[in-house]
Amino acid sequence: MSDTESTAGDAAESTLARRLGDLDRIVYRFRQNPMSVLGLGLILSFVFIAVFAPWIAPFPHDAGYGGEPAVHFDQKFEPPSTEHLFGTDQAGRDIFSRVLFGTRLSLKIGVVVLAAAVSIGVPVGLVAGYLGGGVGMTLMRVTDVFLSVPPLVLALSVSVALEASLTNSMLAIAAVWWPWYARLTYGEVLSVKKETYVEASRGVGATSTRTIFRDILPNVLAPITVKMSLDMGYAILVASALGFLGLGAQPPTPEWGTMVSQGRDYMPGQWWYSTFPGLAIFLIVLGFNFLGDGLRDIFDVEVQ
Amino acid sequence: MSADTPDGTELDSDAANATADGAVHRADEPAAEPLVSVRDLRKYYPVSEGVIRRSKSHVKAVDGVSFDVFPGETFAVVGESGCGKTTLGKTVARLYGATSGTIAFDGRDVTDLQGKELRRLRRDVQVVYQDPSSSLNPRRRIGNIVKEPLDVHGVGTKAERRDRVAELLRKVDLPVEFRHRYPSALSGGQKQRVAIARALAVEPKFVVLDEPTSALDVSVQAKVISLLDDLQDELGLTYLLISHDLSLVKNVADRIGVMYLGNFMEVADSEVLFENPLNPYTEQLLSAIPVVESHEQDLKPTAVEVQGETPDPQNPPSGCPFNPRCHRRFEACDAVEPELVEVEPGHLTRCLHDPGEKREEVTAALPDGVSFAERRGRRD
Amino acid sequence: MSGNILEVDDLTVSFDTYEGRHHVLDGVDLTVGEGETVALVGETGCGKSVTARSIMGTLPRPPGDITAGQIRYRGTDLLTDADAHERVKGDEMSMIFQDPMTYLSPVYPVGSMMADVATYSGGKSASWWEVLKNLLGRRDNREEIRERSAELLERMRIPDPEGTLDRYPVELSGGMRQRVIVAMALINDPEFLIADEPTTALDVTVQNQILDLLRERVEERNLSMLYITHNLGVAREIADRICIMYAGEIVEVGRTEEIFDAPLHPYTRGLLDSIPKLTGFDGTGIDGQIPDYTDPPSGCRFHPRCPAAMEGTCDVEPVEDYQIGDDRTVACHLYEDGMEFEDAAAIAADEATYSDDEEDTVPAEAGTGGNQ
Repeated sequence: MSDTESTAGDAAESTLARRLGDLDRIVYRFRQNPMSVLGLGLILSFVFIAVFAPWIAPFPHDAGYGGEPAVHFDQKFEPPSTEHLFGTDQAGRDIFSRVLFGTRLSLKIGVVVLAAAVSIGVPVGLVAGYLGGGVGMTLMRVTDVFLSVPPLVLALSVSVALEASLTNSMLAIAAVWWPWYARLTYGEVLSVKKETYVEASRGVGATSTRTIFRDILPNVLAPITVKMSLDMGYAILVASALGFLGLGAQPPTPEWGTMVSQGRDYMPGQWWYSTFPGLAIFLIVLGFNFLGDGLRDIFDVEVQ
Repeated sequence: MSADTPDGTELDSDAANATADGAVHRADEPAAEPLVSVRDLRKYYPVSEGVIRRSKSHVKAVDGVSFDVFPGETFAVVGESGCGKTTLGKTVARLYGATSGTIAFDGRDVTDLQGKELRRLRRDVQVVYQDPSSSLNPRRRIGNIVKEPLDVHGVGTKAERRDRVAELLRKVDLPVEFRHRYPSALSGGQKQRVAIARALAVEPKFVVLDEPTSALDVSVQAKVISLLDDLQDELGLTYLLISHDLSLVKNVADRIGVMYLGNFMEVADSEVLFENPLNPYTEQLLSAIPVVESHEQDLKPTAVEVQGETPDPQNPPSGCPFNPRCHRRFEACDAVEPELVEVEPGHLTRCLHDPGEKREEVTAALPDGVSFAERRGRRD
Repeated sequence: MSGNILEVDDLTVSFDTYEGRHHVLDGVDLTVGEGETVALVGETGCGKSVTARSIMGTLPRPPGDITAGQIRYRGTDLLTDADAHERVKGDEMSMIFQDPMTYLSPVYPVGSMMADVATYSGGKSASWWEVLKNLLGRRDNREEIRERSAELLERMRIPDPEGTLDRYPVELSGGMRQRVIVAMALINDPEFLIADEPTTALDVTVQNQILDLLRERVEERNLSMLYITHNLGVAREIADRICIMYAGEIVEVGRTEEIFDAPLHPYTRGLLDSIPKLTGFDGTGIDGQIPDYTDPPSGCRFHPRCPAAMEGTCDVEPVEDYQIGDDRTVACHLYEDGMEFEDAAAIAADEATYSDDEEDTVPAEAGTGGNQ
């Protein structure tokens, strides 16, 4: 029978081996679902693009890299060609490059919005669920108030009240997004709270804080993570919608929604203007959806 | 000592007098100080009804229970589902707050402890839960689970705690290597051992075992029981064992309390309960035990047909709670509520056939011309 | 005795998972005679559920894979004839499961569910129109079914059968729900009942009532029953014959009383020893744990845990069913095929024991995970 690890080195090594073992199993489960692999592939591609845009894009300056986007009126409205894969827009800017750079914006939007929503919503849900009683009720009623406002309307109002910009639209979306996390967390906490190991924790003498962070939180993270992945796509979609309405990113920022909106006026003649940014939105949302489904499947099985 | 003494008569000695009223202890041992003393414990759950959510009635999970547990002994609480035994165990362990009554531990009143003092109590009183799969956090490693009590109570240095975890795992016959595994990698029996290790981490004196083997396979049960037995001897532990398995309890417990709808129906030393059950409910329970050996059949009381099912705790029957199902009921049984009466030293029963102080009430409830003597001890 | 209603012959089932291929069932042989109640007894992980599901045709495959064997119902192999399997499953077999609450829909009253079973089992397909009609409460022969249901509930000793038909499962107690399940299982007059641990979740007193009930119904209609349980005491109450299962193999089969009086297989003895009895409890349990199905032990699957294991034999040669006397089958190398019962009993008394002084205190290796 093995004794306590004799050296710290041994301990670290076996920990690593163990962690890799865990990872291996996760990868196996993930691989079982071809859709989620596809989703992961899509997202990873987008991340790659976002990171390496300046080097992939043939005309980075058209997208505003290094300053104001360049304009080449002599090249305006050129259809897709080998030189301009997605054609050019009304200012002669290469749409392909702009779409590539738009990836950065979209991912940034998704991450910022979700980070904000989660950092407000999850703690609210945790506290409300664990404490229950008057505090819980109050918090959830406040949440309900935010939930009752149609997201787009609130986002519109915020955009109108403040200046229309990408930052403000992200704020607006975060403001309407957090209640869903509060509610999800609240529900999960309520069911986890009933588990025997939570009672056992109390029985051992753990304080509430300790119980919340060590016993409850890790066990509610799974659905939250899945939701986050699915939401990334939707957050981007909403930002694009705002951009489309002219309330988000303003031209000449190469945000996909904004581009689709601008291209509206030139349909169907210069179809490439709206189509390619639109396709990009479609793919990234699809990718996150598939990825989210895959994550859900992994989490379901892993806990067994 | 007449049969009609009220419940909880103390037997002898000044030491016994010094304890709380109503000490009930082993008939064959001199009165020692009980480690745990429960008096008239009640745990009610309000049932909210109506739009305004005002509570209209209560579920009386534990309804006025009194007993003592002496150092080093195993006191078993047996009963069927819904009788309140688990609630009793967890209330005594102060996982729940009592609605009323007192709980004394090692001489001091712990009924209303809160905060830091309650936490201090947790070093002395621990619980092993029924289902090992849900009593261990699936997302924590075994080592951390066992270490938690040490962390919470700030025992020793980090290195000392690690060593203690290894020591505990060894004590429960688990490879120390398991400290890195997650509960899902362990079998039911192994998980329960982890739960035991966790309970022992801070060296408690009193452990409430809530059906510790019900969720385990038979071949594993035996090992866990024998482990618990060894640990009791080695560490001088006192156990409150909650179970529905009468065969197990007969072999493992010193004294047994049979519980029904929130209160004890009978309390006796282990052998006495099986040789001479006084309460009709005990008779029905004993006769329902599934046996595996032909000799065992002889040790069961005459087969009594079990009638009906446990009623809804929100709507207990009037008079004796068992009367609708009782094969020895008579006219007074739905009118008068019996009390726990000490019929012999250390043997109590709650049944109108041994009415104690309620004898007159019982006689009054009988139809004219019928005497209590005629009804006493009757079997239908 | 008109022969066997069910014959399971060399059933071999594997599962594919992340850890590899689990060889769960290793040639399971099982028979249920007409009008007989056979208990399939085994602990968690022994494969009894897999066996039951294979018979019922509810084994998910993949990841399950029936690699060999036959399941003959009245002579017809169900594994090769899917249509027959469907028909038998619907018309002639009925099942009772462990947890009534998961098998009763909480949103339908009892009567409605019983009517559904009465109308749709037997594999008859229903047209959309019919289903719609039923949802709206206009079933064909509604009255007749309701009468039958109420009558059955009465046979189940449910007080107020008519009223119960209109109640929702959540309004009933555990014991009542299980009676409803039994009633539902019997409503179409099956010939063969498979009961999968139906009383495990119930109190001892209620359990006995349900067992009595089942016994009565079985006798009344000459039903054949396969009763699956991990509880030997329950098996003793209900079964004519008992099959002891371990790690995907049937290790011993015999008449109920005889198995209890003289168990031959070391595992059976170990189980019996482990049960706390009114006569006393030596309980050391059985060392070790169930094997890893992805790499099961060679030879006899029980040999790593067996106090009577013979090196060179038990770990090498696979076991076969040895016929002992008239009525006993054991899969153990201690015995020989065709042995007389008395001889076998003598061997059992000597060898297949778990005596206390043999209890070794050497902890098992970390790799195998030590004790259970």
